Amino acid sequence: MQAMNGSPLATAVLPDASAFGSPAAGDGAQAADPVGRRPPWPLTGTAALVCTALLLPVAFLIWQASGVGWSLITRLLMRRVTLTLLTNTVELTLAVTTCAALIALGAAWCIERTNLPGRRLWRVLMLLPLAIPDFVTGYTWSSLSPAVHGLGGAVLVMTLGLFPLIYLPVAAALRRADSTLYEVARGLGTGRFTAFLRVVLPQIRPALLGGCLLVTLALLAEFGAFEILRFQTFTTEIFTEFTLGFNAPAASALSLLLVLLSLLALGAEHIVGRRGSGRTTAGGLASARVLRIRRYRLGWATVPVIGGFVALTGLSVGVPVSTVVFWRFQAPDTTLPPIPLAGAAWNTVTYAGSAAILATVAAFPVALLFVRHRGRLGTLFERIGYLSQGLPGLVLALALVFFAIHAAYPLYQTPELLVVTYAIMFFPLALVSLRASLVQAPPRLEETARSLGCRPAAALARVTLPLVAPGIAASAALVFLAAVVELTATLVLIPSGAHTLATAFWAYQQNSSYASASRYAIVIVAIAAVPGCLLQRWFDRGPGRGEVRGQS
Amino acid sequence: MTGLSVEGLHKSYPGTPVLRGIDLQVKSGALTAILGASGSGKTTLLRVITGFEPADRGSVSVDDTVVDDGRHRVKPEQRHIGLVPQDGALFPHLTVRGNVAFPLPRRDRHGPRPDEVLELVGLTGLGARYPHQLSGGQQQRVALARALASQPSLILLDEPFSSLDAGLRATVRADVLAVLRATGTTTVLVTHDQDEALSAADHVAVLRNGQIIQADTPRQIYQCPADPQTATFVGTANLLAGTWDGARVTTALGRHGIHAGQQAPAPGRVTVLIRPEQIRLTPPGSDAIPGRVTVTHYYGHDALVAVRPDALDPDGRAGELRVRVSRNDPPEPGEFVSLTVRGSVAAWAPAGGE
Repeated sequence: MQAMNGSPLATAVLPDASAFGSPAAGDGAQAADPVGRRPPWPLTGTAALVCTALLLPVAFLIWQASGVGWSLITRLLMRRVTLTLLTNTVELTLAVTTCAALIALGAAWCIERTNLPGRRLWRVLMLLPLAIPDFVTGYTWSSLSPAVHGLGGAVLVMTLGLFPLIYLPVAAALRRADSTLYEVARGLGTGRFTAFLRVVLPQIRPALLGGCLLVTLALLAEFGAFEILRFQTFTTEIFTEFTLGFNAPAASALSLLLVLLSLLALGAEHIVGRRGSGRTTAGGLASARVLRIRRYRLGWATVPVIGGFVALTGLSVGVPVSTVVFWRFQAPDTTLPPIPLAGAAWNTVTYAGSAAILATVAAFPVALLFVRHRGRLGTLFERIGYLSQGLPGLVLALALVFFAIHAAYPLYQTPELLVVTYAIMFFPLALVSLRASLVQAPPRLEETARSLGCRPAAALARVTLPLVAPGIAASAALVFLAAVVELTATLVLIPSGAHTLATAFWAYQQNSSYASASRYAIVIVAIAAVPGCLLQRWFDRGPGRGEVRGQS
Repeated sequence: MTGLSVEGLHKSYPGTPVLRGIDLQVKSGALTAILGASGSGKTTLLRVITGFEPADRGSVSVDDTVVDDGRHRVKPEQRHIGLVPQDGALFPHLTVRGNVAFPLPRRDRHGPRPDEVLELVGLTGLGARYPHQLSGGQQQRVALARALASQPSLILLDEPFSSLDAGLRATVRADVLAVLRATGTTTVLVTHDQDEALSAADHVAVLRNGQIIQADTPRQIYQCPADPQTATFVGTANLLAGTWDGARVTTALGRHGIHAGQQAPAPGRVTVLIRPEQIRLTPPGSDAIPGRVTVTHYYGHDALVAVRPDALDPDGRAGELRVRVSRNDPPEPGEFVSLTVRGSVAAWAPAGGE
C-alpha cells in the first residue's frame, strides 16, 4: 500500500489480491450464510418453549429439595451409606470405562483399519448389545450362575452391555481420520506403535472421551441390572428409599448428589475433550474429500483376532440371547397372575412411538435454530437440550411424580406423563441426530431453490426435508429404541394396572420366575432390534456420501 | 434495454457498511464481470441482487422492472434470476435430470426440456447420475443447465470456476460462456480472478470497498485503470514517479504519451503505469536506458525479467522493473541490457487519483 504513491523509482507488484484485502479463494457462500442473522421469531419462540419444558424437571428437583430443607439434606448425605454408594460408583465407573474403552478401541481399529474378514458382519454384531437392555443381560448372567453378582458381576455385565457406546463414535472417527497423517508420522521416523499413540490417538481422542462420558452417564443412571446383581448404587438406594419407605427427603437428597455427579462428568468431558479437538485436522465432514485409508494386513494374527471377536460377540450377544431362549422353553414357573403379552407389547410400542414423535418434533426447532443461526441464544438452547443427559431417568421420573402430586394431580399415573418423561429423557438423542442431518442441508441449497423459483415452503419440502429425512428417521428410531428398553422411569410412572414389556419382565424377574420373564425379554429385544438395524445403516454411511462435492 | 441496473445501492450489516453506493448497468445480452477481491462486497452485492438480503437504500432493476428500491422487495423466487453458486450447490438427493428439472413447473418436469438443456451444456446421457458421481466441471455445467432451464432474464455466476483445478478451469469456463453467448442470456460473472474477468467478459466492473471503482471494457481496465491500486490488481504493474507537462510525461525511462482514453491529470508530479509488455529489452550499447538483469522467471510461453536500471528517478532512488520477454532465450541474471518503452502509458496525480 505504501508503495502506491511513487516513493521508489519503480514498484513492481505481481497481480496481488492482498492489495485489496485479505487473499482468499472463497469468500462466497460461507461468509454470507445467515449465521448470526436474526432468526425468525416463531422459531426462537418455539425453541424457547421447548427449552423451558426441559428445564422444568430441574426446577421441580430444586423445589422439592428446598421443601425438604437444606440442613436436613446435608444431614441425610452425611450418613455412612453415602460413602459406600460413592465408593461403589467410582470403582464401578473406573473399571467399566477402562474395560469398555479397551475393547471398543481394539474392535474399532480391527474393523476400520485392518483387512479383517467379515467386517460388515462384525460392524452389525458390535452394535447388537445396544438392543439388549442391561437388565436383561444382568438377568441372564445371574440366572446362569449366582457367582455373578456384586462389583465383579456389575463390571462384567455393564462392560458387555455398554462398550458399543464407545465403539460407535471411535469407529466413526477412525473412518474419518486420514491415513496420510499416520503415514507422514511413519515417514518422519516414528515406529508403528508410537505413530498410533502420537498421531492416530489424538485424532480419535474427542470421540473416545465422548464415548467414555456416555458410558459414565449410563452407569450413573442404570438401575435394573444393579438391582438384579445385588450391587448397591445411588439409583438402587434412591428407588428403595422411595418405594419402600416413601422416604422422599432421603430420595431427594441422594437424587441431588447423583445429578451433581452426572453434571461433573459432563463438565469434565467438556474441559478435557475440548483440549484435543483442534488436532483433528483431517476429520470433519466439511473437508472430507477423498479420504485415503490404508488397511493394515493382519497376516497370521487373523485367526486370534477373529477368535477375539467371536468371544466378544458370544459373551455380549450369545449368552443373553441363548439364555433367554433357553428359559423360554422351560415350563412357566410363576404364581403371579399372567400379564397379557400382546397388551404389554402394545403399550410399549405406543408409549415409545409417541415419545419418539414428541421428542423429534420438539428437538427440530432447537436443532434448526442452532445449525442455521448459531448466535448466543441458539447455543444456549442447544446446551439446555443436552442437559437431560445429566438427569438419570429415575431422578427425572421422581421429579415429575413430585410435580404431578403437588401441582397437576390429574396427570399423575397417566400415559401422557410417561411419554413426556421419555421425551425429556431422550431429547439429547433426538437433538444430536437432527443436528447432524441439518448440517447436510445447508441454507445455501434452500436459497438456490428459491432463486430457481420455489416459494419458501416448497423449497423446504423439495430440498431440505428430503435431505433431513434420514436424520428425522434416525432421531425417532433412537428415541424409540431407548424408550423400549427403559425400565426405571417406567416403573415409577406407569399407570397402575398397566404394564409395558419391561415392567412385566421386571415383575416376573423380581419373583425369580425366569421362564415367565423370558417371554417379555425376547419381545423387547425383537422390537428394539428393528430401529437398531435402521440406525446401523444410518451410521454406516461413509463420510462425504450424499454431499455435493464428494469427489472432484 | 438494460438487463440489470443497480443505482446508489447501500447495504450495511450491523456496524459495518458493506456496499456504499453501487452504480452498475449491465446491457441486455452482454457478459459483464464484477471483479473484486475478498471482502470487497461481491457476495453481499450478489445476495441483494438475488433478493436474499434487502437493500438499505438505492434500487435494483432486472429487465427494467424494479425488484428492490429499499422499501419494497420482489421475493427471490419471483425475480427470474438464474443463480449458479460457487460450488454448484446441486441438490445431492436428486439426479442430474432431477436437478435440471427442478425449476420447471410440475407438468414440464418429465417433458423434453431437461434433456434439451442438458444437451446444450454437453451432458447428454448423464441425466440418471447423482451429483457425487460427476467431476467438478460436470457439476458446474449441471448447475448452469439448472439455472438456464426456466429461461431466466439474467444469469448470475458466483465464482463458478474458482473451485476447479487450474487445468480444468479454462476449458469449463470456455464451454460455459459459449453456452451463455449462444443463448444470448444476460450474464453477470462475479470473480476475484483478473485473468478470468479480462478474458471472458465484454465489460468489467471493478469492485472495491463496496464501491464500483471503474466499469469499462477489459482493455480500458487493463491499460487505463482508474487508480494505481486497480492497476496492480488487474495485472503486473510497474509504477514509476514522473512529471506531466500537459503534453507528455517524463520518467526515468524517457518521455511517453498518455492513453487517449484517459482523463489527463493536472500538470506536475504524477504516478505512471507501465505494463511489463510495454518494455523492450535490447542488447546494451544502443542509446536506450541501460540496466542489469537481477532475476528471470521462465514460464515457457514467456518470461518475466526483473531489471535494475542504472538511471535514477526524479526522487533519486533506484528500483526494479518487471519486463515480459516472449523470446525463447530470455536474458540471464547479471546480463546487461537496454530498455525502451513502447506505446502510451497511464498517469495519475500523486494523491491517488480517484
